[in-house]
Amino acid sequence: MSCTNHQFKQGVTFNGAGTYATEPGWPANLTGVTIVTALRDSRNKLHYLDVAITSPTTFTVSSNQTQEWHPGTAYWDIQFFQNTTEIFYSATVRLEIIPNVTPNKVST
Amino acid sequence: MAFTISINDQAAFEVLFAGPAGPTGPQGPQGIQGVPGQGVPVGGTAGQVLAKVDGVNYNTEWITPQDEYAVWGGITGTLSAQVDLQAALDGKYSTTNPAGFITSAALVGYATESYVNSQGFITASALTPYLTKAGNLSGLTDLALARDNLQLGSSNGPTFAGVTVQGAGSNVAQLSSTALSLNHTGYGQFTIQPSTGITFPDSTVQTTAFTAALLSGYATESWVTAGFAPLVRGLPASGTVGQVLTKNSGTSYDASWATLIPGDRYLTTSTTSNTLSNTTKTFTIGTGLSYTPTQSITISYDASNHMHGEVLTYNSGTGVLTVDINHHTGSGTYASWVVNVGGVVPAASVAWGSITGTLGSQSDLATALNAKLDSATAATTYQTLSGMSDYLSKAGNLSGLADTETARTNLGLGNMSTFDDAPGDGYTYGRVNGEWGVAPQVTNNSQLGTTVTTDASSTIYVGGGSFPRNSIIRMTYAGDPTVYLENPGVFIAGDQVLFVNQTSGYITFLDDGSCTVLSPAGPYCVPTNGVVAAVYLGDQLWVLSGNLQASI
Repeated sequence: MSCTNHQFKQGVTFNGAGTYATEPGWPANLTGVTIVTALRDSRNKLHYLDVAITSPTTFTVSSNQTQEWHPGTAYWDIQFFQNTTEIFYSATVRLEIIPNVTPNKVST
Repeated sequence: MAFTISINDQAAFEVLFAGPAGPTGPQGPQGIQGVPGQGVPVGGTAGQVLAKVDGVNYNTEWITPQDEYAVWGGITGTLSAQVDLQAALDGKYSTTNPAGFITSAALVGYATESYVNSQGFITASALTPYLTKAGNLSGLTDLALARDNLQLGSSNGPTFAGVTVQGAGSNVAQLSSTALSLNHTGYGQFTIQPSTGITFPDSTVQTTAFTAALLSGYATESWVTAGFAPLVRGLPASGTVGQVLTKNSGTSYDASWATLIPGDRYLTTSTTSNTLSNTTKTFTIGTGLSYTPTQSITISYDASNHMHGEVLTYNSGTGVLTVDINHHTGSGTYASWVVNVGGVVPAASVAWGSITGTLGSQSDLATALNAKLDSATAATTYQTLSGMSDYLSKAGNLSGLADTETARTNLGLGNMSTFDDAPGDGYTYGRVNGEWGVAPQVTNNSQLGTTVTTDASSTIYVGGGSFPRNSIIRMTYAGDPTVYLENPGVFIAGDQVLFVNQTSGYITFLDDGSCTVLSPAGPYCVPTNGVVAAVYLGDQLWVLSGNLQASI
């Protein structure tokens, strides 16, 4: 599996939309499937994202706490499990968290 | 399997999954043939079988199998050859002639009742009455003969014509219906016979005793009571040699044996009424006593009321006693006294001041006094409690020392007389060569440590413990690194961190949201060895100074 690289700016609300496409040997759709996803930032801190299955084949991933994501390289993947026993992990996505640059408080 | 995902409306990308285990693959090719195995041993004959010689691999041999198990009817040889079985059989009797035993058939008829009866035996039931007689003689058919045989007379209440108790020699006692006689060899015969009275062996003391009825009236005749003296009582029983007869009371014949105590007698009593006082008094006491003039005497009513004095006169015939009472205890008038010889005047109370003699003669008291500390010695040798209070106070806080200079020297404190006389002009003073001198001020720069850290990270955080206090950080990132100044953590107000820009670009200084960065010239450190100092001011405030610029 390859590890894709993507950038994300710190502090911006994270909104991801996923579309599930089945293949032989995999669940036909997301019915009965639980999705959990988390991101581990450059300071090795774990941040869970909110997941909602919006249809049998679509789901959304979101977080409005990305200000807590420390700049640097972060890693993100998605865990699907069914009946608590059959576990599917996605490939790991490498996210480069870009820091906010403009100071939010500057005194002269 | 995969799914696509887009972040914040960016172009969607595909995310692959780690798939489940696939189906079982096809069977692999056959392996190569193995090396030949170990063969069987050579030799052997038809019917032999292969057997292990020992536990060593392949160590076998050909052997002839064992015979089959014996079957009853197929056993050959002689029974006696099986000696254990023959011994067991020899322990049994032969059924044809069991020596010494009789068969049950031969015993038929022997134990029948008619056979037993014909043998003349008596039955158990017939023996029962005989056994009862043997136990308690009940059921005897001829009681008279039985009593004769037992020498018990002619009835169940036996009477005896006479009883003779024969002793040794001529000693014999005889009891008849009218007399009892005893014969004792050497002493003669003693006979009691109602008709003749008692006959003693000694014929000179013969007497005849009669019944009380025969004496009735003899002692009541008037001539007896009027003409003869009354009966004289005998002496009391017991007593020991030397004792004398003493009246116990005034009752006639009330006397007993008593031991006579020889010597003068003084103990007596008096019923003369007298009052307790010190004067001449007269008492009537017992007669025949041994009091003489000038003799000490004690006259007591009880333990709390008594008088003591000397005898003036005593009449042993009348018992009149005059005494000179010179000491008494108690008070009142009494008529029941116990009088006895005195001789010891009761000790009177001794008043302080009336003791004569020398104190030293009372050696025990003198010894006790000598064991005490003389007051003059105490005054010169010991300190009083009040006098010690001053010393105790000095021991507590050294107050009131007479020579403070020497005391400081003794304490190793030098010769300073005071410690709080430094000038009050706001400077910090210290003692130098025996006088006050201004202490050098410590600047922030002087707090910089010697820890130099080279960091090639694109992003570093300062304040949370990433770097020690007052560090010097050489930043060598190949680009534009960012420095986040955080909540101070281990840093305290006045701590500094010195950044040296040895990157290939600019260093951006930002706060991490937990504190505020004050930067009058801008948040960017110039490249090529620009130096910026970040000083923590306290209260989550950092301030930057150095080679800063406002933009890049």
